[in-house]
Amino acid sequence: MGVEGTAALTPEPVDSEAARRAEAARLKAEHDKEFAAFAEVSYHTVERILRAACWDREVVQDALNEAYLHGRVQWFKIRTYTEPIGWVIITARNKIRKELHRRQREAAVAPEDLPPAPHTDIADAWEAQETLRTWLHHLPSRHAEVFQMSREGFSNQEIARILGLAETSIRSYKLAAKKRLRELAEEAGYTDSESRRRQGGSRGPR
Amino acid sequence: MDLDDILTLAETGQPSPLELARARRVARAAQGQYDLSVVDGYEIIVDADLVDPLTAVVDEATRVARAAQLAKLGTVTWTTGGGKSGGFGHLTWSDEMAMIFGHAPGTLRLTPERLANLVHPADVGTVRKVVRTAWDRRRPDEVTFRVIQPGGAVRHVHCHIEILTTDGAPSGIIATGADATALELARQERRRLTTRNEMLCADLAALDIVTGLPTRSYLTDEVDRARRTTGGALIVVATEPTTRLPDALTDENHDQLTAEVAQHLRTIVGDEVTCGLVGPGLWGVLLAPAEEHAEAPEALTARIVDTFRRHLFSVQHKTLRLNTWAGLVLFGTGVVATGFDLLIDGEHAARDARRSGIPTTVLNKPVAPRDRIDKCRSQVRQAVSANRFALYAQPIVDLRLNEVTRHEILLRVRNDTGESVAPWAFLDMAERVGEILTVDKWVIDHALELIGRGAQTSHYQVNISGKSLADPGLLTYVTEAIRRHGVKPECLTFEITETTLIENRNEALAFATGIREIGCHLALDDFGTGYGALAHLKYLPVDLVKIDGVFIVDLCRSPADQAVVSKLVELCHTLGIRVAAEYVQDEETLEFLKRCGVDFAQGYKTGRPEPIAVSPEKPVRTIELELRLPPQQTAMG
Repeated sequence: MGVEGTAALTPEPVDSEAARRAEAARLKAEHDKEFAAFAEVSYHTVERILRAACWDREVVQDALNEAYLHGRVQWFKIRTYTEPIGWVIITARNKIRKELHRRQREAAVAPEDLPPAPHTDIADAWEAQETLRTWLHHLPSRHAEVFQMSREGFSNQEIARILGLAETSIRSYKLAAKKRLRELAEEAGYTDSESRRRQGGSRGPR
Repeated sequence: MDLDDILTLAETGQPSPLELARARRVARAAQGQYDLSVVDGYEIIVDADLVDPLTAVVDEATRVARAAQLAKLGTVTWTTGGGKSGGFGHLTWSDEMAMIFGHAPGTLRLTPERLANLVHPADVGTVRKVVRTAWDRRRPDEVTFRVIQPGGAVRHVHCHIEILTTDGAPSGIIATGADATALELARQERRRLTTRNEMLCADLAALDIVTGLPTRSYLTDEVDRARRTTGGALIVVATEPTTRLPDALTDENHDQLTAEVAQHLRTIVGDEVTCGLVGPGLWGVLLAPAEEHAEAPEALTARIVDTFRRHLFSVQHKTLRLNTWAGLVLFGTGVVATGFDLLIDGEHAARDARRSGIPTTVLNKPVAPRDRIDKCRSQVRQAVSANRFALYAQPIVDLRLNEVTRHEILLRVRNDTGESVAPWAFLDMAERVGEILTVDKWVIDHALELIGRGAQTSHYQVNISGKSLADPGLLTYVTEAIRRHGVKPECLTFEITETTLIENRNEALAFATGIREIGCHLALDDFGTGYGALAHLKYLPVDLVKIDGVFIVDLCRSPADQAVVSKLVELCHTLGIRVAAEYVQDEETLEFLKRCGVDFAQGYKTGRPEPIAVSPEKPVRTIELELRLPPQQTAMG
């Protein structure tokens, strides 16, 4: 309706219509490219944040697929946001919540029920990430999300706004998360700091 | 390596080419779907908020409440109102939170008091404290509490409590929450299951403590199952020392010998075969129907007897041979005889073998019911008329005074060699064939006679089977015996054993009431096992409950037993009933019983049963009876 109305008002409908279409196509191509770049850069950050609180990988991926689709649909608006990634996180989080609610999973498996992580030697970054993730699942989901976001470089204010929390809470949640993670790491046997050991070693031969 | 190292290491990781490809795939898929929707002219509905989360200018309370609303969570906001109202400021809840509390949105104007009234009374204090602490410390917290909805329904609500700030100064509190009833119930159920798993015990009653073999009742049930399903064969082995055992043998020596025999039997028959202790010196072996290549039951029976007779057992560094006989009963599927009947047949067959001086007797089918009952009854009557019993007394400690104030009179049956053995197998048989009254009357008469001849300084507990209570003449018999032997009725407690077998409630009640009217006390023995119902405590005028030994033997190691015992004591004391514990075997248990408030304790720890008289026919012995009564002692021994 809107398109027809606009067209009716223009004096030379055919020419301007063609120009408008060409402009729209150019804009779309630009947005397409922009969105593809945004998705590639942001995807893993968003995924890490969401997986910090939700242990079900499939649910996270489904939510991400949907959030990015909606992101593309509304890209012309979202691209103007300070941090489009914030919008994707919010949207995907709500999708996860809906899905979990639908499945009633929350009642079936609470974090305290997950088996403790076995102590394996952490050799590379991937293993470190996986180990951290299992520990994060032992934390209240707010703590886990806040912690992961802060590690991804979001400021307290950004975290508060994206997760819908009070700003004063962020510091407490971060501290609580760090404390619990340290406990879990110690329970799993990771106690001695390598950097400290290096310092100790530099004291020279006995 | 510590947490910081792991965090640093984790963050060095860059997405692998594979992962990057995955991100591109997601973007392409979104792009593809979007393009399709544009070309086909349909709209993809985006249900998310379209505001830039980082730039929107709203106060924090509104922002958090809005986020909560999107997440289908309720909020309660409590702002100080800039201090101008002086009171509590401004308290509101979102529509979602109103519904969680069971109220239609917008129908209730909230005040702190009104809100507190909606919370379960038991949880109000906690909620207040958490909110107060959060505010004082300017720190977020969380709390789970119950609300009572207008209809009376109770729901669990979980809330995150956060401190709001305006221009850097704390300006209020916001609680974000959801109905957590399902979650909370699931948590409680998990906790319950954990407790249940911790508390669940193995069936102690199924295995004999000394031998580790199945008990008589377990084997009886197994035989019964076999006769209903596969049929099979039952061997009953009777063992008896060839020479008289030295008197110096302690109970431990006897237990040791029994355990050695049990182990030997196990070795002969193998682990797959069910065997059990069915009486003192009586062993049962249940065989499944013979397979073709397997050893025939007759051959196995002969082998057991032969091996036992050849074996040199040892007790207290002395060697000992056991004379052995066996009875073998073969039975098909669906025979009328029950597991108990077959067991009795086996016992009789073994006895017949002994009498005829042959190693084994084989019955090709179960005995006719009439013959079996007649044989059992005559066996009981014969034992009674020949006084083939002995009475023992076991001290009972009053835990308040820490000294022996009572004795339980226990029956022992003299076996073919004249040795006194535990009566449980004999009593089981007598009870099942309905001859227990004869035995009970013998016990009452002889026990009262012995008590009447003594100084009557102690309190005596005498056992009567629940089955005997059906006899209308029993009360008269007891009253008459008390009078005849000059026993002080207040020194007597009658313990009803096998309450399961109370056949006639009216008669039982009449006896119980009558016995208390003449001044005696009434006790329930072996309480807590069988079908000894709590209802007995309600309508029988019971003075004492004796907790069954299965709850006591492992008391210090079993939280389940501790729960049963401590609560049972509480229950009984509330009902005005005293509590005794039997099978007390160590100091630890004794201490626990004292802490629980148990009134009496009895067991090897506090004193073993001792014979009180050889035969009442010889009055001379009564002097000995006095001397033979175990000395008064404290629980510390």
